[in-house]
Amino acid sequence: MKLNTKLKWAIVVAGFCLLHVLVFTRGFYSGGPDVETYYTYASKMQQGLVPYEEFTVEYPPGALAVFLLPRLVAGSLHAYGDAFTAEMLVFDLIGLFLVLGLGRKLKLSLWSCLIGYTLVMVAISSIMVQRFDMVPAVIMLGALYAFSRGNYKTAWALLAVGTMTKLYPAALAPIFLLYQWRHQRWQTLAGSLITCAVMLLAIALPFLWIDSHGFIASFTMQSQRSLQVESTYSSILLLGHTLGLPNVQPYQGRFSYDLYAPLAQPLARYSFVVMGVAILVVYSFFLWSYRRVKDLKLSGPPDTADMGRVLNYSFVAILVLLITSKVLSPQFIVWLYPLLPLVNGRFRAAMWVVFLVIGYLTWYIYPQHYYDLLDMQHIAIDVLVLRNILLILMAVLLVGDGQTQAHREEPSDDLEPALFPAAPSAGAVS
Amino acid sequence: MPNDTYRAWLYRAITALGVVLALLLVTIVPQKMQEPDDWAYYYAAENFSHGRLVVDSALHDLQVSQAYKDGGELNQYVLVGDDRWAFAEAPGYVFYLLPFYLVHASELGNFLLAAGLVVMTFLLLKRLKNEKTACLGSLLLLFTPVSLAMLQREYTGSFASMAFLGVGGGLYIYYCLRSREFGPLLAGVVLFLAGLGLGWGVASSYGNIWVALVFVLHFLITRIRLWLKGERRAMVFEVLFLGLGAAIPLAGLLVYQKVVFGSPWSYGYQYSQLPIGFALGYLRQNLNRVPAALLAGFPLLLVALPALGIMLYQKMAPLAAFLRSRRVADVWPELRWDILLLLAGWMVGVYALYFTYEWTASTQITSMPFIMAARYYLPATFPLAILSVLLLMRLPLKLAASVIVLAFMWGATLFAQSALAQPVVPPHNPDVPVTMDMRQDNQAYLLVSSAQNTGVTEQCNS
Repeated sequence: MKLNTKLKWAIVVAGFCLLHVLVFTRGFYSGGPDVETYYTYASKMQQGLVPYEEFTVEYPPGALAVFLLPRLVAGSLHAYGDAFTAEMLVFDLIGLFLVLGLGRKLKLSLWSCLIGYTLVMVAISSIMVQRFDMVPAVIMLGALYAFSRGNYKTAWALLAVGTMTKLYPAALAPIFLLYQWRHQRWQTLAGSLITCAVMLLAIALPFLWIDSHGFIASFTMQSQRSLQVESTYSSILLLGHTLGLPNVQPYQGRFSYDLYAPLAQPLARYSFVVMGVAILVVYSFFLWSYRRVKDLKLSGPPDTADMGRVLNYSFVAILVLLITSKVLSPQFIVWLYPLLPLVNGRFRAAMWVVFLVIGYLTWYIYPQHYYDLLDMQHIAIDVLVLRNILLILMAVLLVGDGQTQAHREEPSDDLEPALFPAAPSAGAVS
Repeated sequence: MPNDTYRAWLYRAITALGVVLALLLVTIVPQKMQEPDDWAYYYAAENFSHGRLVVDSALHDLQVSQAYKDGGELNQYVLVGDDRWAFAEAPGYVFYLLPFYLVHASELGNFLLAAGLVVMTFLLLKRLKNEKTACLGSLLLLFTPVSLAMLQREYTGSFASMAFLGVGGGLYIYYCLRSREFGPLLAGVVLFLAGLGLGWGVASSYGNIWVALVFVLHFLITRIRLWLKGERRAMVFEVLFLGLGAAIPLAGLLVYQKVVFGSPWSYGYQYSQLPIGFALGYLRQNLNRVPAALLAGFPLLLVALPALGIMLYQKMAPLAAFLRSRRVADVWPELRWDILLLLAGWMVGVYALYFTYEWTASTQITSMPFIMAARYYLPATFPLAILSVLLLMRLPLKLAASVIVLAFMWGATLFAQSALAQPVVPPHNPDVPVTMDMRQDNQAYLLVSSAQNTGVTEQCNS
């Protein structure tokens, strides 16, 4: 890259960083009930109380580190809110650089990556600084970045850290595994798995040793939750209610507002089966997408096409978790945040449009009209159903596109050649 | 049979089948007189059928109490003089409905309009693109949730206000595209019908005047160009026939207003006590409250808005290149610049008007079914469908097919929801919004609703 080009991009990236800083500090509303909970946990830890043993926590240990860090510099709840926002901002900016790095690897327009990352941030809105979900999302992105560079051990180590912060990055592990297996990287695979196991144990063992029951409960208590009111299953039942289905009623559960209905309990119980089957289908499609690839690259880091495939299926895996989970809290949308600008293929532009609408609809439900939803008002229910349908549409389109492009070498970020016949990626840096 | 002819008939058959399916759907699902509008139009049809354009207080009170007894509300008859009550809405649809009302088949009024609208959309899209596009576009227009919902409600003028405008506007665009191919007789008939449709659209809903003005603007600009080119006879001919078509309903409207309100320029809304004004001050509240209902009622917006953006952007590219003495091919040759702007103006004419509507801004519409806010925007569905389907036809098959299937399913489901449901709770007072600050008191909702939900909550907790 020439010096002038480097300088130009340095200015552009600095501008976008500044924009993110402004939006995080001036645009978003920080604080809220969850941040209060984080503050409480952090305060207890600061007082020397041991998590899992001396107080119950429903989060993995990585999350506790995220909660504690701002408490070290903040004396009051208000200051903690600001510090927590700053912490999320730091992770957001790390995410921005990782997106740029991966964008270059995927030969995507860097302008599009920066604009996409920023647009998605705005669409998701304040929930970015009111929950800690940004942290595992960026760690997961870090794992993908390391993977794209061929640093498989680092990728697996980061995946382990992400999983110990919030479980969902584990959904990427089979994709990494299948990739390395498919490309016959047996030696790196063994080393990667050992690194991952060591990292997991390094984080978990101290807590297992202190209070294994409490530590394990922090994972299992989530599985005992009822059907949360915003989940896909709930939205179907709520839509049914508007069409005359009787005995459907939201209520305050232990962790969230859940749904009471005759079908709710079986749906909650078997949602794991649905999730398991759906995610297995995604992994199968990932593997199946290699069926027409003749010249597998058996050494070095993944090439552009391979990495495009890994990223798209990682995005779909996370999407499927959201869609099939019995809990779909608004902050879960953040899980998709850093991956979306990197989604490639024919539907890239369509994905952006759909996600921006999803962001708006999620914001409409929470915090704008959450009590309308609990009151089972029709518009709130319709919006929820539409949001969940759009999530499903994204997953279906990406899987379909993945299969169509299975034989292609290079991923394309065109919507369709006929629609954008002469649209070179002006900002692309090769 | 040649392959092309076979395909053409296949698409026509699918379209006809879709129309029959839509009509069956709205016939099978039981209809409810959901809003005061239904009762107002119902009693207007009843009164007009007896030649009573105004009613006295005794009859009005009787009809109010009768509507109340039947579970409805009649509040859109307004006091216009001493012991004189008149229908507050534009009367065009009621006059159109009268023959059907008199033969006890009011639903046929909307059915006929739906058929006319679909034929018009089909013809226009066939001209713009092909039969496949025409088939999909016509059905997408009809299967939009608000279209289906208002098609069913024969005692509300919403569907008619969209259909008259769609038929009139569609014919006008069709004429613009094919004027060179028409003989004088056919050209005259098409223009006359276009004017009639647009004029009747205004006579059915005063709000349509802005869309009609967009057409007038287009007509003026394009005909002045014709005049300057020296084709003056053609221009006079067009003005004559389009003007004649539009003059009939508009003259009828003015006569009606003179008879009922005492002046051709007075109309029912001037006498209404309801919050039905328009002002820019309501824009912000409407932008906060209405979009969700619009997305539910018009899922086509998700395609039409990006389509409009993409089309405008890509239409500008050749212009910009031309200014730099370069030639760039038009990516959307099927859609002329002036037609695109006309369609955009049509959308703006509806959306800009109703985003400043007092009633949707001052009522807690988020607590009501989507149809109550979204139906005002129905007249803009025609351009929405045209733009959407033109973009969908350019998209990869999987994406287009997914969107189309979802649109039909969504349309049928939300129509059923709208038709079957009344508001589940009484609308909240806008001064006491139901949504409270959740961050401050997450339990407050429980306290409020515990009285109603105690049984369920206990059952769930146990």
